[in-house]
Amino acid sequence: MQIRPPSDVEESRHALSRRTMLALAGSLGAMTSLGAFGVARAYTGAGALRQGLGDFPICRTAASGEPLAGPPRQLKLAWNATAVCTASAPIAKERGIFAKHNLDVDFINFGGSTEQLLEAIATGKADAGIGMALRWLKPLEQGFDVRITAGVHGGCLRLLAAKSSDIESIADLRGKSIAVSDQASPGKNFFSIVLAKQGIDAEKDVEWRQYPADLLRLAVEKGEAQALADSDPQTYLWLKDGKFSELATNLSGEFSNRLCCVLAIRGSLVRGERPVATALTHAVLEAGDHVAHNPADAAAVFSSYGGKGSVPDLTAMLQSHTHHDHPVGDALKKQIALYTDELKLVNVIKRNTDSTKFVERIYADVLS
Amino acid sequence: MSSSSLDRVSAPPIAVLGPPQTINYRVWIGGSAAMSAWLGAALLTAFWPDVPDSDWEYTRQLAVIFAAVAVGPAFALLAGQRIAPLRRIWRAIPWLIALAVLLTVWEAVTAKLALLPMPFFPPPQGVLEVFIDDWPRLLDGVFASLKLLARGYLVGAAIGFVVGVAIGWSRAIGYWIHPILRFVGPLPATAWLPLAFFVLPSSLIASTFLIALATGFPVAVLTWSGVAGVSSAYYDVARTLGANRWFLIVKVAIPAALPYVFVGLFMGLGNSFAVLVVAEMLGVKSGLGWYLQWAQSWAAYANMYAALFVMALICSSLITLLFRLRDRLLSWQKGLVRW
Amino acid sequence: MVVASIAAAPAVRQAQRPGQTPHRGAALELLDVSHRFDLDDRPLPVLEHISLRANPGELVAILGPSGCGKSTLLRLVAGLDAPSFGQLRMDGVTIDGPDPSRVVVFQDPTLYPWRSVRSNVALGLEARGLLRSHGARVEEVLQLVGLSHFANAYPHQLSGGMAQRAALARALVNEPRLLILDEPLGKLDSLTRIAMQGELASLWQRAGFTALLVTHDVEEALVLATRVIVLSERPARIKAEIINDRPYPRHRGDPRLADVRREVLTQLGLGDSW
Repeated sequence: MQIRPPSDVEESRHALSRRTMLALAGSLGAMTSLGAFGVARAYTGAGALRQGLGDFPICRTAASGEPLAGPPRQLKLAWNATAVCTASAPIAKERGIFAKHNLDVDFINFGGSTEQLLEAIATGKADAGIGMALRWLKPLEQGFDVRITAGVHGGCLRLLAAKSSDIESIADLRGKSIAVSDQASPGKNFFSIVLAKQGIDAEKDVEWRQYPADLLRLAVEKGEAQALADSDPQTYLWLKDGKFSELATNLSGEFSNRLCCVLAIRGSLVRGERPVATALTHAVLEAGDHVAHNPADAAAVFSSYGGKGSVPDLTAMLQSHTHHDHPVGDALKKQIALYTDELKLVNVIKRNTDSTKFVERIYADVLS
Repeated sequence: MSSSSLDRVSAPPIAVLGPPQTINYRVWIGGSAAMSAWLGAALLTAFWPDVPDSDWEYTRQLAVIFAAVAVGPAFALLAGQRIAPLRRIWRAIPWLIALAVLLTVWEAVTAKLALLPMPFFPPPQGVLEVFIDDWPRLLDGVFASLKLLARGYLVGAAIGFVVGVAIGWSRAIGYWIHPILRFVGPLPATAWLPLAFFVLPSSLIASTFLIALATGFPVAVLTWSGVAGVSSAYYDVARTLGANRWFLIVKVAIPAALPYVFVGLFMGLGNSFAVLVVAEMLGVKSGLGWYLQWAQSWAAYANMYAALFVMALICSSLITLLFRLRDRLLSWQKGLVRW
Repeated sequence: MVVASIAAAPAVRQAQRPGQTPHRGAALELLDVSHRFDLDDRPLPVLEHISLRANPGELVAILGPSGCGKSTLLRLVAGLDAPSFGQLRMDGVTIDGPDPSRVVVFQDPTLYPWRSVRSNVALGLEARGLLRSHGARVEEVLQLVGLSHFANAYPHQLSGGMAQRAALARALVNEPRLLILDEPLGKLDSLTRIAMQGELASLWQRAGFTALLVTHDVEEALVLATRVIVLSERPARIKAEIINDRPYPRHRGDPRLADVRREVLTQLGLGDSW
């Protein structure tokens, strides 16, 4: 969203609009009443403020780290039970980390982690959620009242190519088809960026074909695409039988300490009950550390929630993701800004979106 | 009312409905109301400032469009009594007024007052922006979807028709196929996706199959119903006149069942649209359902509404086309049934 | 005039028909025909021991109370159903199915609503693949029944009488040797009926086919038939066979017809009512 310079434009219009509104009063009653209403608002200058813009003074009732007072605060966390990236959530619940921070968290499962999660958070059906930054940045640009408070981990996106095709490097993908689960998939977004950085136009030189997530491998086997881009646990399991090779992940090369998933919290919760947001963020970060240091335990817990894959496989996956790397504060802002610029490169985010202002709008500092 | 206009009315080149006085009153009141409604919409859009910090690019253009629509009733008002086709505009006047009011309310509540939150409720200029900026992709999508629909619908309708006739005519065939139809037909398309993709050679064939299935089921059921319900008197007449079985099926049963078949075709059309979005999840490069999904996953609801609008337009046009076809083939029904 | 009751088929003097080949029509024989329906596992007898004979060119009327089985009898003659017992023969050949040489005109004209009048009339020719060679007959027959101006109309645009005439035309275009009429004028108003009876009589005279007419209208039987067969209540048997050899065209007020009328009504059990 572009921010226009304030009120000069509005001042010069007042006289004109009043005259016009009065002129309209002669024809239809509804028009008149609405018009008069609008004029009154314009005069008092109290137009509806865009949500998420500007700084509201927030009363700080508790510094970070202090436990919440009173009975355990009930919260709803939206997550995707099939995505192993969100393993911090079940760990936090099962290993008492939420309880330690005086939180009683219920999970709401969303099968396809798309903007549905954001919608759920923005409309209050959930209080927070964990999801992939590269999937969420574009919907967030549209203006949901949701704030990112922490990065959660890196890794889990993989670009696989069939060994039967002769694709051995990113450059070989020129002119080929890549199967993805949908047009807004983080796999498509991330690897478009990778391709762009190697000089390949992700829109013109490569064809992205969409298939339901569990059919991606079948699509490649049928020859409808030569490579696929998706996330763990699927991609890790597909690699196991050796028919596919891994071309890149979102930890390859220059992206080695980039975040993949973020924790986002409802804007009104962040503004109205900041201590709760703080507690939640702390809990999730602690859980992340736990996952990093005890991947086997995390795998077992995740698996008990019905995730795909055997516990040894899940353990290996979790070890390859960087759960100990959970940026906050300036580091987080910098990464989001970087992603935003890169997404502009591949025409996902609008070119005239100001990255810095965008980051300010979607990030909330609840830890300092 | 000037006497000159009365003179014009009293010697019209075409027949006037009702006494001349009434027409003039209705015309003037209706036309003025419509005109002022649209002008009101235009003025409100142009001169009431958008909410601060929004960046709707086409607010001015929207106002111009509203003003242009107001010209329609104005023109009809002045010239309509002479030119017969413009009289059609008179019939649309109530809807024109309602539309203007709705659009004004929508505009006021979204762009001017922001009572309804973004991104769920884009204002009219948001949707206009989509049409202006993204029309190549939308147009591409229209053609791609139409191609897919045509393939699926025609195949489904043809097979459904043949199956329906077979079941309606032969008890033996009905015995075997009827239960399959009952169980398989109503299953949702999404359930078929993985199976279809696995079994069929390509995603294009799988998508076509999904649409064909959605179309074929109602066509088969209704054709069957039509054929089975043909009055036995028709058969008696033909048999005594020396008709063989082929003649009975093709020249008696099928024409008699055609009204039912058309009902099936209409239902199939609606069904195929409903399935279009699912069918375009499989390896499709462009299309309205594909566009819809993309817009939704980007939370670009203006784009989604634009695509939905285009889809509705196309579905409505196809239904009209089907009605025209029915009119021609079933013109003999005009005297019998109210349609 | 000879009034005969049933015994054997008496020799019948042909009514006068100018310039007509007398044997265009078929000879029809019913040999001890009985028929029953299976209704809820209990058989319902409808016809019992019907034996009758129609000589070539005769117009035989079958009269009987409603529900007695007259229509069933016609369906058997038409070949649409097979009799439970007995045999039906046309020109010595057993009737075992419908055939265009024995066409039926039903009570309901049952014109195909999706075809024009002309197309309906041509139905029989089309079904037998004779449309191209014998198409001219369609126009002839339409003229015969007086529907030439309505050839392109659709059935829903015709009145009851016109529709029935079209049905008649549809039957006649096939030059049947046996015409079976199942209360063809039953649904028409009495004025139309009277007019159509006259038309039917002259058509029959001109064409020379054998006709089997089922009716419940005594006057109709009197005006049209050379022989009247009276059926009893269900299960139907032949109660009487009355010969009427008054010349055509017949006048309803003919005092000689009165005797036949009396006899017929008596057989029907209505002797005191006229």
